[in-house]
Amino acid sequence: MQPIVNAAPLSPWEPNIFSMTLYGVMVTALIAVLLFISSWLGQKKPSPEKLRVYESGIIPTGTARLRYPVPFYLVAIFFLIFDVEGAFIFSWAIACENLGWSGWFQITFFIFVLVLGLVYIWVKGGLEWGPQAKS
Amino acid sequence: MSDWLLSMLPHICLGMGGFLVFCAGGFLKERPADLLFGMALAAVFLAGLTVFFFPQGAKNPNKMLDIDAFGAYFYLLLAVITILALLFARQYARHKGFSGDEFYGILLFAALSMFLTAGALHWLAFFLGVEFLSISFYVLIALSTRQPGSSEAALKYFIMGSVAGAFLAFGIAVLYAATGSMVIADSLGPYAVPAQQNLILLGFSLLLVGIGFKLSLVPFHFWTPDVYQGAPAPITAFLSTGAKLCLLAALVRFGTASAEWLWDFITPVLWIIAALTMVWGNIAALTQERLKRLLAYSSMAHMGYLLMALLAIRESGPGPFLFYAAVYGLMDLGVFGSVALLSPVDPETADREDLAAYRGIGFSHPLIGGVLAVSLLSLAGLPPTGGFFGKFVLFRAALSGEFEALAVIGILAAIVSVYVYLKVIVALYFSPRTGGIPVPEPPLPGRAAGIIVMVLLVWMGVFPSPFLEFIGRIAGGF
Repeated sequence: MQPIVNAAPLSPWEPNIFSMTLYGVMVTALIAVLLFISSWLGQKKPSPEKLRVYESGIIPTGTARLRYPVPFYLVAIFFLIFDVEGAFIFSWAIACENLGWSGWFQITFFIFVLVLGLVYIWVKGGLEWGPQAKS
Repeated sequence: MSDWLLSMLPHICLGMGGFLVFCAGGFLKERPADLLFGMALAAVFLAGLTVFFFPQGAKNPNKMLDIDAFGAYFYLLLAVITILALLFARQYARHKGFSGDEFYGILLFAALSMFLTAGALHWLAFFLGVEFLSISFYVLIALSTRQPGSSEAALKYFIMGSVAGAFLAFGIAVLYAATGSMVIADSLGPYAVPAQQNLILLGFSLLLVGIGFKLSLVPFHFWTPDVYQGAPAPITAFLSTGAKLCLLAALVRFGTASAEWLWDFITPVLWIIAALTMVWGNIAALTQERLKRLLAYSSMAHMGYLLMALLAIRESGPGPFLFYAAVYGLMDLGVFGSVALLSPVDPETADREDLAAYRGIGFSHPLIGGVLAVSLLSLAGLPPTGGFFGKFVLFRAALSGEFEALAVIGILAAIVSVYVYLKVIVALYFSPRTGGIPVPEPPLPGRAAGIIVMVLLVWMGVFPSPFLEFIGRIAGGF
C-alpha cells in the first residue's frame, strides 16, 4: 500500500495546529465566561425543595445504594459477550464464498469454542437463578 | 507442517493450554489435586520449546508475528518468567482460595498476550496483545477476593489501563492515517515521510503515553504503588516482570524501526522520561515503609534504566538491553516471589508488608530470606550478582552512545537506591526476630523457583560470558 501523501483521489487533509489551538482557546473562554456570568448574576436562595434530587416531581425514597441481584448483571454480561461474537460470525457470513473451506473450518472452530463457553457457564452455575443450596 | 503454522506454535500452545485448563476445570469435577497446575506448566514449557522449531530462512511466513532472533529471545524469556511465576504462585493461590481453573487458565492467556505483544509486527497484533494483557491482569489482580486490597487494586488498574488503551488506539489510528500502513516497520520506517511530520509525531506521542501508562514511566506512574501493594504477591511478580518486558520489547521494535528523522525527535523525549523515572523511582522509594510499595518504586526506577538502554540501542546494539531485561525479570520475580512465600496463610489478611515484619527472617528462614537478599542485592547492583554486571553493560552502552549526562544521572540514582535495598537487608539480617506473623512452611515448587532465581542471578554476576555470548549471537542476527 502506498503512503497517503501520494494518493491523488483523496482530498488533501491538512490538519493545522493553529486552528486547533484557536478552537481550544475559544471553547475554554466560552465555558469560563458562561460559568462566571451564571455564578455572578444568578441568585442563590436555597430551599429544601430546591435541594432535592429531583427539583420538581418525584420525592425520592430509600437509599441509592440498593443491593442489586447479581444474576441480572451476569446475564447482561453473557449476552454482551455472545452478542459481540455474533458480529464476528456475520462478518464471516458476508465473505463466506470468498473465504472457502479454510474459512469454514475456522468459523466452525470458533463456534465450537463459543458453544463450549456456553456449556462452561452452565456447568459452573452462571445461569442459575436465585440462591443455590451449598454443596 | 507448514511454515505458517510453525511460526505460530508458541501462541497455539498457550491458547490451547488455557482452553484445556478451562475445560478440565469445568467438566472434570473429580480431578487430581495438581492437574491444572501441571497442565499450565506443560503448556508454557511446550510454548518455550516450540521456539526452537521456528522455520529457518530469510522470509517470515507470518505477517503478524515475529520469528527472528529478537522475538524468539523474548518468547523464551517470557516462558521462563511464566514458569517461575507459576511455581511461586501455586501454594499461595491454594492458601488464598483462588487455585481453580480461572487462575491457571487466565494466567496462560496472560502469557499468550505477552507473546503477542512482544512479537507483534503489525499494529493490530500489538493492540490486541496489549488489550488482552490488560484484561487478563484485571481479572488476575482481583482474583483474591477475600484479601482487603485486591479488588481495589484491580479497579485502579482497570481505570488507568482503559484510559491507556484509548491513547494507544488513537495513536495507532493517527499513525495509520498519516502513513497508510498497519505494518509497524513500514509505518514508522519508509512510509513515515517528513511531509507528514505533525501527524506522525502526534500519533507516536499518543502511543508513548499509552505505553508509558503500562510501563509506569514517570509522569504516568501514579497507579503503580497502589496496584502492586493490593495485588496478590505472585501476581505482582508476574505483572512487574512479564507485562513490562513484553511492552519494552515492543518499544525497542518501534525504536529500531523508526526512520532517522523520527528517532531524532523521539530521543530527547525518551531522555527526559528516562531521567525522571530513574530519579523519582529511587527517591520515592527512600521513605517507603512497606516492602511492596518500595519494590513498586524500585521497579519503576528499573524501567528508567531499561529505557536508557533503549536510547543507546542504535550505537551499542540490543545486547545490553537484552541482558538487563533478563536480569530484571529474574530479580523482580525473586523479590515478589519471596514476599509470596513469606506471606501469611490466612486468606483474609494482606501480604507481609511492613518492613518491621521482616526482622530476622534471614536467620529463621535462611532459604527464602537468602533468595530475597540476593534479589535485593541484585536490584541494588552490588557485585556478586547479575544486577551488577547488568548495570555495568547498561551504563557502558549509555556512555558509548554519548548519553553521558543521562548515565551520570542514572549512576547517582543507583547509588541512592543502594540505601533503599540495604534498609530491607538490615531488617532481614541485623535485627532480632520479634514474634509477629508466622511464616508458612515453604512448599517444594516455591523453594525450587527460589533456588533457580538465586543460582541464575549469582551465575550471571560471577560468570556471565555464556549469557553474553548467547545474546551476542542474537544481537548479531538482529
